[in-house]
Amino acid sequence: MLELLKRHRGKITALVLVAVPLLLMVSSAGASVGQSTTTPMRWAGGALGSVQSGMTGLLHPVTGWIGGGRRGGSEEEERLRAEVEQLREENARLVGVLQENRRLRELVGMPTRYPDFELVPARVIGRDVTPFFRVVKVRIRAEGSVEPRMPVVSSEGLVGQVHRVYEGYADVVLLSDPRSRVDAISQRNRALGLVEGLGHETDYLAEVSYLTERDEVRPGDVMVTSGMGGIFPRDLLIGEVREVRPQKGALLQEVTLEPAVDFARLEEVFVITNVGRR
Amino acid sequence: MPFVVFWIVAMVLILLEGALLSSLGVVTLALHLPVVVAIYLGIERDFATGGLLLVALLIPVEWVVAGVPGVYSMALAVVYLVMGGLRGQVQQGWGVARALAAGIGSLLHSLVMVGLFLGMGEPSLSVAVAWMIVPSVVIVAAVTVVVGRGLSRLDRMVDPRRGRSRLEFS
Repeated sequence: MLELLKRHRGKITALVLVAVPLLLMVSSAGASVGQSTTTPMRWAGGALGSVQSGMTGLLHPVTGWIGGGRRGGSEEEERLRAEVEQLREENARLVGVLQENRRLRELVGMPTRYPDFELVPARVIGRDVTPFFRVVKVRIRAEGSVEPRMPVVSSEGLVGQVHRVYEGYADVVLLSDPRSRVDAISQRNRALGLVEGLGHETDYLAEVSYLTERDEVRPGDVMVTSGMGGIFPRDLLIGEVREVRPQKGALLQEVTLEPAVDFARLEEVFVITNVGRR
Repeated sequence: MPFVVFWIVAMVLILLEGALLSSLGVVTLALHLPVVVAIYLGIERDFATGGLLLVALLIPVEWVVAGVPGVYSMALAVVYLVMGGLRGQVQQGWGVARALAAGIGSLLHSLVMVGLFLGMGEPSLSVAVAWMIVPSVVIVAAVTVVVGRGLSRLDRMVDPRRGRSRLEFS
Protein backbone atom coordinates (compact mmCIF):
# COMPACT_ATOMS: atom_id res chain seq x y z
CA MET A 1 0.00 0.00 0.00
CA LEU A 2 2.78 2.39 1.03
CA GLU A 3 4.70 1.42 -2.08
CA LEU A 4 1.64 2.17 -4.21
CA LEU A 5 1.25 5.58 -2.56
CA LYS A 6 4.94 6.32 -3.13
CA ARG A 7 4.75 5.27 -6.77
CA HIS A 8 1.69 7.42 -7.49
CA ARG A 9 2.43 10.29 -5.10
CA GLY A 10 2.52 12.84 -7.92
CA LYS A 11 -0.94 11.86 -9.17
CA ILE A 12 -2.32 11.69 -5.63
CA THR A 13 -0.96 15.16 -4.85
CA ALA A 14 -2.53 16.58 -8.01
CA LEU A 15 -5.84 14.93 -7.12
CA VAL A 16 -5.83 16.31 -3.56
CA LEU A 17 -4.87 19.76 -4.86
CA VAL A 18 -7.95 19.87 -7.07
CA ALA A 19 -10.24 18.02 -4.64
CA VAL A 20 -9.80 20.45 -1.70
CA PRO A 21 -11.00 23.56 -3.60
CA LEU A 22 -13.78 21.54 -5.23
CA LEU A 23 -15.00 20.40 -1.81
CA LEU A 24 -14.89 24.00 -0.56
CA MET A 25 -16.92 25.13 -3.56
CA VAL A 26 -19.52 22.39 -3.22
CA SER A 27 -19.92 22.77 0.56
CA SER A 28 -20.36 26.56 0.46
CA ALA A 29 -23.38 28.69 -0.28
CA GLY A 30 -21.83 30.09 -3.46
CA ALA A 31 -21.08 33.77 -3.76
CA SER A 32 -23.73 35.03 -1.35
CA VAL A 33 -22.71 37.27 1.54
CA GLY A 34 -23.21 35.94 5.07
CA GLN A 35 -22.07 32.35 5.37
CA SER A 36 -22.17 30.11 8.42
CA THR A 37 -18.94 28.55 9.70
CA THR A 38 -18.34 25.18 11.29
CA THR A 39 -16.88 24.98 14.82
CA PRO A 40 -13.35 23.93 13.67
CA MET A 41 -13.37 26.79 11.17
CA ARG A 42 -14.49 29.23 13.88
CA TRP A 43 -11.55 28.24 16.09
CA ALA A 44 -9.03 28.17 13.23
CA GLY A 45 -10.25 31.58 12.07
CA GLY A 46 -10.01 32.87 15.65
CA ALA A 47 -6.39 31.68 15.93
CA LEU A 48 -5.42 33.26 12.60
CA GLY A 49 -7.24 36.43 13.64
CA SER A 50 -5.20 36.58 16.87
CA VAL A 51 -1.96 36.33 14.88
CA GLN A 52 -3.04 39.02 12.44
CA SER A 53 -4.28 41.24 15.26
CA GLY A 54 -0.87 40.92 16.96
CA MET A 55 0.88 41.79 13.69
CA THR A 56 -1.32 44.86 13.20
CA GLY A 57 -0.50 45.97 16.74
CA LEU A 58 3.22 45.55 16.10
CA LEU A 59 3.02 47.36 12.77
CA HIS A 60 1.31 50.49 14.12
CA PRO A 61 4.47 52.16 15.44
CA VAL A 62 6.41 51.07 12.32
CA THR A 63 3.86 52.47 9.87
CA GLY A 64 3.78 55.67 11.96
CA TRP A 65 7.51 56.03 11.41
CA ILE A 66 7.38 55.73 7.63
CA GLY A 67 8.68 58.93 6.11
CA GLY A 68 11.38 59.51 8.72
CA GLY A 69 14.62 61.47 8.07
CA ARG A 70 18.02 60.37 6.72
CA ARG A 71 21.23 59.74 8.66
CA GLY A 72 24.79 61.09 8.25
CA GLY A 73 26.74 64.40 8.70
CA SER A 74 28.84 66.04 11.45
CA GLU A 75 28.50 65.53 15.20
CA GLU A 76 26.54 68.76 15.66
CA GLU A 77 24.27 67.85 12.75
CA GLU A 78 23.80 64.39 14.28
CA ARG A 79 22.81 65.92 17.64
CA LEU A 80 20.39 68.37 16.04
CA ARG A 81 18.97 65.63 13.83
CA ALA A 82 18.45 63.42 16.86
CA GLU A 83 16.72 66.30 18.62
CA VAL A 84 14.49 66.97 15.61
CA GLU A 85 13.66 63.27 15.38
CA GLN A 86 12.77 63.19 19.07
CA LEU A 87 10.52 66.25 18.69
CA ARG A 88 8.97 64.77 15.57
CA GLU A 89 8.32 61.55 17.41
CA GLU A 90 6.71 63.43 20.31
CA ASN A 91 4.68 65.49 17.84
CA ALA A 92 3.55 62.35 16.01
CA ARG A 93 2.57 60.79 19.32
CA LEU A 94 0.58 63.91 20.31
CA VAL A 95 -1.16 63.98 16.92
CA GLY A 96 -1.96 60.29 17.45
CA VAL A 97 -3.41 61.08 20.90
CA LEU A 98 -5.50 63.92 19.44
CA GLN A 99 -6.77 61.66 16.65
CA GLU A 100 -7.58 58.93 19.14
CA ASN A 101 -9.35 61.49 21.30
CA ARG A 102 -11.49 62.58 18.33
CA ARG A 103 -12.22 58.97 17.42
CA LEU A 104 -13.18 58.09 20.98
CA ARG A 105 -15.47 61.15 21.13
CA GLU A 106 -17.18 59.89 17.99
CA LEU A 107 -17.47 56.40 19.46
CA VAL A 108 -18.97 57.75 22.67
CA GLY A 109 -21.49 59.58 20.50
CA MET A 110 -22.41 56.44 18.55
CA PRO A 111 -25.19 55.22 20.88
CA THR A 112 -26.84 58.66 20.70
CA ARG A 113 -26.49 58.61 16.93
CA TYR A 114 -28.11 55.18 16.69
CA PRO A 115 -30.22 55.07 19.90
CA ASP A 116 -32.49 52.22 18.80
CA PHE A 117 -29.73 49.75 18.04
CA GLU A 118 -27.73 47.30 20.10
CA LEU A 119 -24.18 48.00 18.96
CA VAL A 120 -21.24 45.62 19.34
CA PRO A 121 -17.92 47.43 18.84
CA ALA A 122 -15.20 45.91 16.65
CA ARG A 123 -11.72 46.98 15.57
CA VAL A 124 -10.32 46.56 12.05
CA ILE A 125 -7.23 44.33 12.17
CA GLY A 126 -6.62 43.59 8.50
CA ARG A 127 -8.05 43.29 5.05
CA ASP A 128 -8.23 40.57 2.43
CA VAL A 129 -5.05 40.05 0.43
CA THR A 130 -6.62 40.29 -3.01
CA PRO A 131 -7.81 43.30 -4.97
CA PHE A 132 -10.82 41.32 -6.21
CA PHE A 133 -12.89 41.45 -3.04
CA ARG A 134 -13.46 44.22 -0.51
CA VAL A 135 -13.40 42.60 2.90
CA VAL A 136 -12.03 43.81 6.24
CA LYS A 137 -11.23 41.59 9.18
CA VAL A 138 -12.42 42.84 12.55
CA ARG A 139 -11.81 41.87 16.16
CA ILE A 140 -15.06 41.87 18.09
CA ARG A 141 -14.41 43.87 21.23
CA ALA A 142 -17.38 43.04 23.42
CA GLU A 143 -19.70 40.23 24.35
CA GLY A 144 -22.58 39.88 21.95
CA SER A 145 -23.93 37.41 19.48
CA VAL A 146 -22.58 38.55 16.13
CA GLU A 147 -24.02 36.58 13.24
CA PRO A 148 -23.59 36.52 9.46
CA ARG A 149 -25.47 39.21 7.49
CA MET A 150 -25.73 41.62 10.42
CA PRO A 151 -25.22 45.26 9.34
CA VAL A 152 -21.98 47.04 10.21
CA VAL A 153 -21.81 50.83 10.68
CA SER A 154 -19.26 53.46 11.63
CA SER A 155 -19.68 57.04 12.79
CA GLU A 156 -19.76 58.05 9.08
CA GLY A 157 -22.47 55.66 7.91
CA LEU A 158 -23.05 52.15 6.61
CA VAL A 159 -19.90 50.04 6.22
CA GLY A 160 -21.29 46.72 4.99
CA GLN A 161 -22.40 43.45 6.50
CA VAL A 162 -20.92 40.55 8.43
CA HIS A 163 -19.84 37.75 6.12
CA ARG A 164 -18.37 35.05 8.36
CA VAL A 165 -17.97 34.88 12.14
CA TYR A 166 -15.03 33.24 13.95
CA GLU A 167 -14.07 33.06 17.64
CA GLY A 168 -13.78 36.75 18.54
CA TYR A 169 -13.27 37.81 14.92
CA ALA A 170 -15.40 38.37 11.83
CA ASP A 171 -15.13 39.18 8.13
CA VAL A 172 -17.05 42.26 7.02
CA VAL A 173 -17.96 42.60 3.34
CA LEU A 174 -17.79 46.30 2.43
CA LEU A 175 -20.40 48.18 0.42
CA SER A 176 -18.08 48.31 -2.58
CA ASP A 177 -17.51 44.54 -2.75
CA PRO A 178 -19.05 43.14 -5.96
CA ARG A 179 -21.09 40.69 -3.81
CA SER A 180 -22.70 43.45 -1.73
CA ARG A 181 -26.30 44.47 -2.39
CA VAL A 182 -28.21 46.97 -0.25
CA ASP A 183 -31.77 48.23 -0.78
CA ALA A 184 -31.57 52.02 -0.88
CA ILE A 185 -33.80 55.06 -1.13
CA SER A 186 -33.06 58.64 -2.11
CA GLN A 187 -33.50 61.06 0.79
CA ARG A 188 -34.67 63.84 -1.56
CA ASN A 189 -37.41 62.14 -3.60
CA ARG A 190 -37.70 58.62 -2.09
CA ALA A 191 -36.63 56.93 -5.34
CA LEU A 192 -35.89 53.26 -4.70
CA GLY A 193 -32.76 51.51 -5.95
CA LEU A 194 -30.28 48.79 -5.17
CA VAL A 195 -26.71 49.75 -4.21
CA GLU A 196 -24.24 47.23 -5.63
CA GLY A 197 -20.46 47.21 -5.17
CA LEU A 198 -18.35 47.75 -8.26
CA GLY A 199 -15.05 46.28 -7.04
CA HIS A 200 -13.12 48.79 -9.15
CA GLU A 201 -9.33 48.69 -9.03
CA THR A 202 -8.74 52.24 -7.88
CA ASP A 203 -11.69 53.26 -5.78
CA TYR A 204 -14.47 52.15 -3.46
CA LEU A 205 -17.37 53.25 -5.66
CA ALA A 206 -20.70 51.47 -5.93
CA GLU A 207 -23.59 51.77 -8.38
CA VAL A 208 -27.29 52.24 -7.83
CA SER A 209 -29.28 49.86 -9.97
CA TYR A 210 -32.96 49.75 -10.94
CA LEU A 211 -33.48 53.53 -10.98
CA THR A 212 -35.80 54.36 -13.86
CA GLU A 213 -35.74 57.50 -15.99
CA ARG A 214 -38.68 58.88 -14.00
CA ASP A 215 -36.76 58.68 -10.71
CA GLU A 216 -34.92 61.98 -11.37
CA VAL A 217 -31.76 61.28 -9.42
CA ARG A 218 -29.15 64.08 -9.38
CA PRO A 219 -25.46 64.20 -8.39
CA GLY A 220 -25.27 65.06 -4.70
CA ASP A 221 -28.44 63.17 -3.79
CA VAL A 222 -28.04 61.31 -0.51
CA MET A 223 -28.94 57.63 -0.52
CA VAL A 224 -29.96 55.86 2.70
CA THR A 225 -31.07 52.32 3.47
CA SER A 226 -34.73 51.68 2.69
CA GLY A 227 -35.23 49.00 5.33
CA MET A 228 -36.58 46.56 2.74
CA GLY A 229 -35.25 43.04 2.79
CA GLY A 230 -35.00 42.94 6.58
CA ILE A 231 -31.20 42.97 6.77
CA PHE A 232 -30.46 46.68 7.05
CA PRO A 233 -32.57 49.00 9.22
CA ARG A 234 -34.07 52.14 7.64
CA ASP A 235 -32.27 55.45 7.18
CA LEU A 236 -28.64 54.42 7.59
CA LEU A 237 -26.49 56.76 5.50
CA ILE A 238 -25.01 54.91 2.49
CA GLY A 239 -23.47 57.66 0.41
CA GLU A 240 -23.90 60.40 -2.17
CA VAL A 241 -24.69 60.10 -5.88
CA ARG A 242 -21.58 61.09 -7.80
CA GLU A 243 -22.63 60.67 -11.42
CA VAL A 244 -25.82 60.00 -13.37
CA ARG A 245 -25.61 58.74 -16.95
CA PRO A 246 -28.98 58.48 -18.66
CA GLN A 247 -29.01 55.62 -21.17
CA LYS A 248 -30.48 56.53 -24.55
CA GLY A 249 -33.40 54.25 -25.31
CA ALA A 250 -33.01 52.32 -22.05
CA LEU A 251 -35.44 52.26 -19.16
CA LEU A 252 -32.86 52.43 -16.39
CA GLN A 253 -30.20 55.01 -15.53
CA GLU A 254 -26.56 54.33 -14.70
CA VAL A 255 -25.88 55.91 -11.33
CA THR A 256 -22.51 55.89 -9.53
CA LEU A 257 -22.45 56.32 -5.76
CA GLU A 258 -19.63 57.37 -3.46
CA PRO A 259 -19.97 55.68 -0.04
CA ALA A 260 -20.11 58.03 2.95
CA VAL A 261 -17.54 55.93 4.80
CA ASP A 262 -13.86 56.35 3.96
CA PHE A 263 -12.91 52.67 3.91
CA ALA A 264 -9.19 53.43 3.71
CA ARG A 265 -9.28 55.02 7.17
CA LEU A 266 -11.60 52.57 8.84
CA GLU A 267 -10.50 51.67 12.36
CA GLU A 268 -13.53 51.26 14.59
CA VAL A 269 -16.87 49.83 13.47
CA PHE A 270 -20.07 48.65 15.14
CA VAL A 271 -22.19 45.61 14.39
CA ILE A 272 -25.94 46.17 14.79
CA THR A 273 -27.17 43.00 16.49
CA ASN A 274 -30.88 43.67 16.99
CA VAL A 275 -32.25 44.41 13.51
CA GLY A 276 -34.57 41.39 13.40
CA ARG A 277 -35.83 41.97 16.94
CA ARG A 278 -36.73 45.66 16.64
CA MET B 1 13.46 24.43 4.36
CA PRO B 2 11.49 21.81 6.29
CA PHE B 3 7.77 21.48 5.55
CA VAL B 4 6.55 23.09 8.80
CA VAL B 5 9.05 25.95 8.67
CA PHE B 6 8.07 26.83 5.10
CA TRP B 7 4.38 26.70 6.04
CA ILE B 8 4.97 29.09 8.95
CA VAL B 9 7.07 31.48 6.84
CA ALA B 10 4.44 31.51 4.08
CA MET B 11 1.62 32.12 6.56
CA VAL B 12 3.52 34.94 8.28
CA LEU B 13 4.12 36.60 4.90
CA ILE B 14 0.48 36.30 3.86
CA LEU B 15 -0.93 37.48 7.22
CA LEU B 16 1.60 40.30 7.31
CA GLU B 17 0.41 41.51 3.92
CA GLY B 18 -3.18 41.87 5.18
CA ALA B 19 -2.06 43.60 8.38
CA LEU B 20 0.37 45.92 6.56
CA LEU B 21 -2.05 47.00 3.85
CA SER B 22 -4.70 47.68 6.48
CA SER B 23 -2.30 49.63 8.73
CA LEU B 24 -1.08 51.78 5.86
CA GLY B 25 -4.62 52.38 4.60
CA VAL B 26 -3.66 50.96 1.19
CA VAL B 27 -6.91 49.95 -0.39
CA THR B 28 -6.43 49.09 -4.01
CA LEU B 29 -3.05 47.40 -4.11
CA ALA B 30 -2.33 43.80 -3.19
CA LEU B 31 0.95 41.92 -3.37
CA HIS B 32 -0.79 38.62 -4.26
CA LEU B 33 1.49 36.69 -1.91
CA PRO B 34 -0.57 33.46 -2.05
CA VAL B 35 -0.08 33.42 -5.84
CA VAL B 36 3.61 34.22 -5.40
CA VAL B 37 4.01 31.34 -2.92
CA ALA B 38 2.23 28.93 -5.30
CA ILE B 39 4.57 29.99 -8.13
CA TYR B 40 7.61 29.62 -5.88
CA LEU B 41 6.56 26.13 -4.80
CA GLY B 42 5.82 25.12 -8.40
CA ILE B 43 9.20 26.23 -9.69
CA GLU B 44 11.43 25.36 -6.71
CA ARG B 45 9.99 22.32 -4.95
CA ASP B 46 9.53 18.79 -6.22
CA PHE B 47 5.95 18.15 -7.30
CA ALA B 48 4.69 16.08 -4.36
CA THR B 49 6.32 18.09 -1.53
CA GLY B 50 5.33 21.45 -3.02
CA GLY B 51 1.83 20.20 -3.73
CA LEU B 52 1.30 19.01 -0.18
CA LEU B 53 2.61 22.31 1.16
CA LEU B 54 0.15 24.16 -1.03
CA VAL B 55 -2.69 21.90 0.13
CA ALA B 56 -1.75 22.75 3.73
CA LEU B 57 -1.88 26.44 2.85
CA LEU B 58 -5.18 26.40 0.94
CA ILE B 59 -7.61 26.53 3.90
CA PRO B 60 -5.79 29.36 5.76
CA VAL B 61 -5.47 31.23 2.46
CA GLU B 62 -9.24 30.92 1.99
CA TRP B 63 -9.64 32.56 5.40
CA VAL B 64 -7.28 35.39 4.50
CA VAL B 65 -8.88 35.99 1.10
CA ALA B 66 -12.50 35.88 2.38
CA GLY B 67 -13.79 35.45 -1.14
CA VAL B 68 -16.10 32.86 -2.65
CA PRO B 69 -15.00 29.56 -1.05
CA GLY B 70 -12.82 27.36 -3.25
CA VAL B 71 -12.48 29.69 -6.24
CA TYR B 72 -9.21 31.35 -5.22
CA SER B 73 -7.78 27.98 -4.11
CA MET B 74 -8.73 26.26 -7.34
CA ALA B 75 -6.97 28.99 -9.31
CA LEU B 76 -3.91 28.57 -7.05
CA ALA B 77 -3.92 24.80 -7.66
CA VAL B 78 -4.03 25.36 -11.45
CA VAL B 79 -1.14 27.84 -11.20
CA TYR B 80 0.87 25.31 -9.18
CA LEU B 81 0.20 22.50 -11.67
CA VAL B 82 1.30 24.66 -14.62
CA MET B 83 4.34 26.03 -12.78
CA GLY B 84 5.27 22.45 -11.81
CA GLY B 85 5.39 21.72 -15.53
CA LEU B 86 7.84 24.59 -15.96
CA ARG B 87 10.16 23.34 -13.19
CA GLY B 88 13.63 22.81 -14.61
CA GLN B 89 12.67 24.55 -17.87
CA VAL B 90 13.02 28.10 -16.52
CA GLN B 91 16.40 29.72 -16.10
CA GLN B 92 18.00 29.26 -12.66
CA GLY B 93 17.97 32.26 -10.33
CA TRP B 94 15.19 34.76 -9.69
CA GLY B 95 15.57 37.02 -12.71
CA VAL B 96 13.67 38.06 -15.81
CA ALA B 97 12.81 34.53 -16.97
CA ARG B 98 11.15 33.64 -13.68
CA ALA B 99 9.43 37.03 -13.54
CA LEU B 100 7.90 36.25 -16.95
CA ALA B 101 6.85 32.81 -15.73
CA ALA B 102 5.28 34.45 -12.67
CA GLY B 103 3.42 36.91 -14.90
CA ILE B 104 2.00 34.00 -16.88
CA GLY B 105 1.07 32.31 -13.60
CA SER B 106 -0.78 35.40 -12.42
CA LEU B 107 -2.60 35.73 -15.76
CA LEU B 108 -3.65 32.12 -15.49
CA HIS B 109 -4.81 32.63 -11.91
CA SER B 110 -7.02 35.54 -12.91
CA LEU B 111 -8.40 33.76 -15.99
CA VAL B 112 -9.32 30.66 -13.98
CA MET B 113 -11.15 32.87 -11.46
CA VAL B 114 -12.96 34.74 -14.24
CA GLY B 115 -14.01 31.41 -15.79
CA LEU B 116 -15.20 29.97 -12.49
CA PHE B 117 -17.22 33.08 -11.61
CA LEU B 118 -18.82 33.06 -15.05
CA GLY B 119 -19.65 29.39 -14.54
CA MET B 120 -21.24 30.24 -11.18
CA GLY B 121 -23.38 32.93 -12.79
CA GLU B 122 -21.56 35.82 -11.09
CA PRO B 123 -20.65 38.20 -13.93
CA SER B 124 -20.02 41.14 -11.55
CA LEU B 125 -17.28 39.17 -9.80
CA SER B 126 -15.79 38.17 -13.16
CA VAL B 127 -15.67 41.83 -14.16
CA ALA B 128 -14.03 42.77 -10.83
CA VAL B 129 -11.28 40.17 -11.42
CA ALA B 130 -10.90 41.09 -15.10
CA TRP B 131 -10.38 44.76 -14.11
CA MET B 132 -7.32 43.73 -12.14
CA ILE B 133 -5.62 41.35 -14.59
CA VAL B 134 -2.97 43.75 -15.92
CA PRO B 135 -1.90 45.26 -12.55
CA SER B 136 -1.93 41.77 -11.00
CA VAL B 137 0.39 40.37 -13.68
CA VAL B 138 2.84 43.25 -13.23
CA ILE B 139 2.77 43.13 -9.42
CA VAL B 140 3.12 39.33 -9.23
CA ALA B 141 6.05 39.36 -11.70
CA ALA B 142 7.89 41.96 -9.60
CA VAL B 143 6.99 40.57 -6.18
CA THR B 144 7.90 36.99 -7.17
CA VAL B 145 11.46 38.04 -7.97
CA VAL B 146 11.87 39.73 -4.57
CA VAL B 147 10.07 37.09 -2.49
CA GLY B 148 11.64 34.24 -4.51
CA ARG B 149 15.11 35.57 -3.75
CA GLY B 150 14.26 35.96 -0.08
CA LEU B 151 12.79 32.46 0.23
CA SER B 152 15.71 30.91 -1.70
CA ARG B 153 18.17 32.64 0.62
CA LEU B 154 16.22 31.40 3.63
CA ASP B 155 16.22 27.92 2.08
CA ARG B 156 20.00 28.03 1.76
CA MET B 157 20.39 29.32 5.32
CA VAL B 158 18.32 26.49 6.73
CA ASP B 159 19.72 23.85 4.38
CA PRO B 160 23.07 25.06 2.93
CA ARG B 161 23.52 21.98 0.75
CA ARG B 162 20.13 22.32 -0.93
CA GLY B 163 20.28 22.16 -4.71
CA ARG B 164 23.91 21.07 -4.77
CA SER B 165 25.09 17.67 -5.90
CA ARG B 166 26.51 15.71 -3.02
CA LEU B 167 28.57 12.60 -2.83
CA GLU B 168 26.83 9.79 -1.10
CA PHE B 169 27.93 6.31 -0.12
CA SER B 170 25.64 3.64 -1.43
